[in-house]
Amino acid sequence: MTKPRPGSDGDLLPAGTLVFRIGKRADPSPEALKQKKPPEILFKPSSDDEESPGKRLSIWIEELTLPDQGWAFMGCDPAKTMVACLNVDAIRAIQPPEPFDPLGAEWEQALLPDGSVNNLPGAEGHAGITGLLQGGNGKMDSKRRKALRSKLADAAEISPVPVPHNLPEEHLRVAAYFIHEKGKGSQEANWISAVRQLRRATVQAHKQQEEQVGEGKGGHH
Amino acid sequence: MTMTATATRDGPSLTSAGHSTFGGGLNLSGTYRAPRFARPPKGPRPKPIPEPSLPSAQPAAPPGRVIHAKIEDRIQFKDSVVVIKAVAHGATYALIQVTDSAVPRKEPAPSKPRTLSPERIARKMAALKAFTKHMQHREYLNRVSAGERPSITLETAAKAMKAWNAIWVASGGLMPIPAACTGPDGEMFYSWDRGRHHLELEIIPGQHAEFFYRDRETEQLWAEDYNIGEPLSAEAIQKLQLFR
Repeated sequence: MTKPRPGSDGDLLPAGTLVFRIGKRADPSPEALKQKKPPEILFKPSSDDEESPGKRLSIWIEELTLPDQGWAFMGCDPAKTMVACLNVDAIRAIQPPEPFDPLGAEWEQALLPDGSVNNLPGAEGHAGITGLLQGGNGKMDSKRRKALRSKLADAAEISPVPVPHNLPEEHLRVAAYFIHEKGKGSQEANWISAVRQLRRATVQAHKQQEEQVGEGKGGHH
Repeated sequence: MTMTATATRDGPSLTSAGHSTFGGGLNLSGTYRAPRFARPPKGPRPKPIPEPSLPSAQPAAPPGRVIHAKIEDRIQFKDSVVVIKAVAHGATYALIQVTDSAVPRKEPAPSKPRTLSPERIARKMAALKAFTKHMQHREYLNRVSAGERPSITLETAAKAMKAWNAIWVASGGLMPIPAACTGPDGEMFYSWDRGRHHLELEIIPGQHAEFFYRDRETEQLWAEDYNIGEPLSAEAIQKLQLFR
């Protein structure tokens, strides 16, 4: 997949972009982890999201930001450990309940906690989901908003790698060395690339494992 | 079980810890036997006490002989100590077998090996699996409500467990274990998914819990407040039936 070029605040995200959201104090049960489905509350805009000019739910673009970088920008909160991944196409395909508008995915300028622009490496991958704060305060609209979040949860998957990552350092060293051998980028950039590659490899390995389990179960029927 | 009373000529048998509860006692012939002291008591020797007569028809046992009598015999000894000894069940049974030797001994029929039908095995396995998951869920609630910075309070964990029990009972024990997750403000979220059906229960600290149902096909939405501890509404129970 080609790396998307960071856009301006409010620009639409390219189709097919993979994004992730970091959950606050989301501690899933073994059953939830097995189902890999995040809770809908993960997609409830925080008070910061509600107060932001774009009123978007904060997300990050996987090609531009590591979940660990996003986690660091959010203050390295040990209570934020869950990473939910989803595709922009799936977000846009969600059918809103009448009379709500469809959800959108747009670029959003990343800000530091003091309100200044965040220019740190990885901050260029900040974006937001629009349309989650539609409607009024009534019960009916509250139910509709919950339905939208529930659909987002259906479209998302919990990453098997949390934040901060739990990848073995030796593996990262080896991966970073091979990236360095190709003669690309700085040591820090190589390390970030190594984390990204190993994160993806772990996700891939989990998927393959699940497929094998699925096939094994299918063979018994 | 046959019970016998055993009394010896030498006086009362020992009780627990090997000591008589009395310092002395009466033997079968009713003769007083003084307790054993380190030294004999000082002073004038007491007058000998006349021997009490044995009121029962039972003959006095010769010295050193042991009498075995059934407890039903109720031998009355004045101030005497009777120690009851239980005969081992196996020995008694064997004795009965020997005395009834005229009748051919009937061997007990060998018990049939218990075989379970595949359905029953499947049911048992499902029950075991459900129990294991239930225990896992309990452990999860304990974990997220413990530690220095717990995700939920102990009260929320207790409410969650209570709600889950109520749901499980209301579904006739057929509701699967929920996929649970804590929220940013100490909430607990339970969710169930089965095909087109999605059900959630949000347990919010200091507030009523909230059910939320969504039908993925018809887009039907339903929400209801639930006061944990009170019976579930008919509509909520109806929704639970969709996940059995």
